[in-house]
Amino acid sequence: MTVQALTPRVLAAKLAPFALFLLAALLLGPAVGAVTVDPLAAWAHRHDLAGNLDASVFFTIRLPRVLLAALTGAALALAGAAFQALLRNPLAEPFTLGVSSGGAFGAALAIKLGLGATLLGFSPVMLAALAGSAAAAALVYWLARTRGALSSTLLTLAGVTISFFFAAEILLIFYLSDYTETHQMIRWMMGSLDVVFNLAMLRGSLASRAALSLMLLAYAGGLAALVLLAGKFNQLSLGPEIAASRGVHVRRAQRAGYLAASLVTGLAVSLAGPIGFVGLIVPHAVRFLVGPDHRVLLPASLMAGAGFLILCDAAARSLFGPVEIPVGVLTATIGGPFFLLLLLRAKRQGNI
Amino acid sequence: MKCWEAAGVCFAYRDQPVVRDVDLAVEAGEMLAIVGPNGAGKSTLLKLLSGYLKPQAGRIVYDGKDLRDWEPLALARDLATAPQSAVFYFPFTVGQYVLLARHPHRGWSPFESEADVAAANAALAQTGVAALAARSVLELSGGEKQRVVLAAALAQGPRTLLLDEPTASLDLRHQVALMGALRRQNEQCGTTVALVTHDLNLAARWAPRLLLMHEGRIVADGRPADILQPDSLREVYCATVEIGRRADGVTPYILPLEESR
Repeated sequence: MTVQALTPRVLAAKLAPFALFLLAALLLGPAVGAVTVDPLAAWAHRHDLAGNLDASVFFTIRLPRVLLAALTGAALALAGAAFQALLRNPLAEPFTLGVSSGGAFGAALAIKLGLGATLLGFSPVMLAALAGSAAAAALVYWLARTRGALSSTLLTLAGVTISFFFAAEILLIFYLSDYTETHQMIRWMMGSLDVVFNLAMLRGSLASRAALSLMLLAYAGGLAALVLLAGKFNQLSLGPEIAASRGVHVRRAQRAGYLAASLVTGLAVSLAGPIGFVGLIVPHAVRFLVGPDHRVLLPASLMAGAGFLILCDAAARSLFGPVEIPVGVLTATIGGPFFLLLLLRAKRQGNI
Repeated sequence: MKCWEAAGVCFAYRDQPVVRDVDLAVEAGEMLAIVGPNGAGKSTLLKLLSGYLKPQAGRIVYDGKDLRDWEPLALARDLATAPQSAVFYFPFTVGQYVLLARHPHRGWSPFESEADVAAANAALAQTGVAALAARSVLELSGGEKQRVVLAAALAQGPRTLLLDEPTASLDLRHQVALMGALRRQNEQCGTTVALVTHDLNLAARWAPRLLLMHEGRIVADGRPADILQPDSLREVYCATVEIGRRADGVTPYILPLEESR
C-alpha cells in the first residue's frame, strides 16, 4: 500500500496528542496566577463561593478567564488556518483582511467618545469593536467580490489597504485624545483576556443571559462550520479550477468559509483585543506536525490554539506577578522562538 | 452515444471573443486532440467542455444533459480535468494529493474508503509515480508534477478525461509513456479523452481525431492525415512545414521550416 488514507483510527491517533495538550492546559490554567489556587479545595467549596477564597477565585475569576482564553485561541488558530487555505497564502492570518484594525478602530472610537451605556451586559467598547470588525470584513468582501470565484489577490490587497486605512484613522484618534484615553486604547490593542463581559450577566436578567448565550452560540457555530468545511478547504487550497473540477461549489464554499472565519475572528477581537501571532504560528506549527490535510489540521489547530493561549495567559498572570503582562506581548515572545525552532526543523527535513 | 454536443458556443473574456460559434459532436469513447496556435481558444474550449466556464451563447450537452443542469458532484464523478499548470501551495504528499481527487466519491464521510485507496494506488502506478507517493508535492520537478496531476485526474475515476497540455514539460520518453497510458485508458476502459496540445507529432501519432482551432473557431476536424496539410498549417500557424509519412505510409510527421518570404 503506497498511499495512506485518512481513516477514523488515523484521525484519532493524530488528534490525541493535541487533545492531551489542551486537557493539560485546561487543568493547569485555573491553578496558576498571582495567587495559587488549589483546584481540589475550590471544587470542594463550589457551592460556597463567598465563604472560601480558593473557590471564589477559581470559579469567578480564573475559570471564566481560562474559558475565554480557550475560545479566543481556538478561534484565532482555526480562522488563521482557514484564511491560509482560502487565500492560498501560507502567510495569511486572521487579521490579513483587516478585521483586527476595523475592531481596533471601533474600540478606539468608543473610548474616545466615552460611550458609557452597556447593552445587555456587553461593554460599549466590545460592541464597537465587533461593529468595526464586521464593517471591515464586509467592506473587504464587497471589494473583492466578482462574478465567479473570490479572487485571493483582490481579497489580500483590499484587506491590507483597509488595514492601513483604519490604522491611519486610529492614529488620528490617538492624536485627538488625552493621555488617559490613549493609554486605554493602547492597552486594548495589546490584547487582554480580562473577562470583558460582566459576569453578573450569568445571574442577571433573562435578556443578558440570552445575549451571552447568543454570543457563545455564534462562536460555536462559526468554529463548527470551519471544521466541517475541512474537506472543501482541502480542495480550495489547490486552486478554484481544481476545486470546481472535483465538484466543489467554489463560490458558495468560499463564502461560507470567509463568513465563518470572519465571524469567529471578529468575536475574538471584540472580546480579547487583537491578540497577534496565534493565528499565524499555531496553524503553521500544527501543519509541520501533522501535515496540510485540513481534516486533521483544523481540529488540531483548534485544540492547539486553545491550549497555547491558556498557557500564555497563565504565564502572563504569574511570571511577574502581581503585575500582569499583556497576553498579546507574551504570545509573540513565546511563539516567536518556538516557531523559529519548528522552521529550522522543517528546513532540515526539506519540508518547506 | 454522444459524449458532448455543442452548438453555437461563444465565449469572451471581457469584450475579447475567444471561442466563436463552435459546433462540436464527440462520441463516447473517442480520443481527440485540440491543436492550434497560441490564443486560438483551445484551453478556453476545454474549460467550456468541462463546465468550468459557462458559454455566453449556445449550449453544451454532456451525456444527454445540458452542462448547466449537472449536479457538480455527479459531474465530477463522471468527468475529470487535468489543468495546464497546477500550482501547489501546501506540502501535501503525492499520495495525499492523488487521494484528494476522490472527493466527489466520499459523500458525507470525511474519510476515504478502501475503494478510494485502490483507485489512488492504481492511478499512481499507471502514471509511473508510485515511487513518489511519500514525497511532498512542493519538491517535484516539472515532469513529475505533470504526471502527478494526471494521476489525480485518473484517480477521480472518470468516464471522460480533459487534459490541457499534458506533455508540455515532459521529456521524450515520458511524453510517449504518458500518451501511451492515455491511449490504453481510452481503448481498454472506453474513457473519452480530449486533450489540448502544441505537439502536432504527438497528436498525429496518438489521437485518432484532431480539431484544428484558429481565432476561436474550429477550422478543421478529422483524421490527422487529412488535417495536417501544408496549406492549412501555413494559413493557421503562418509557418512553413515539411510533412513526411511514417513507415505505415499514413501517419504524418511535421517538421517546421524557416519562414520563406
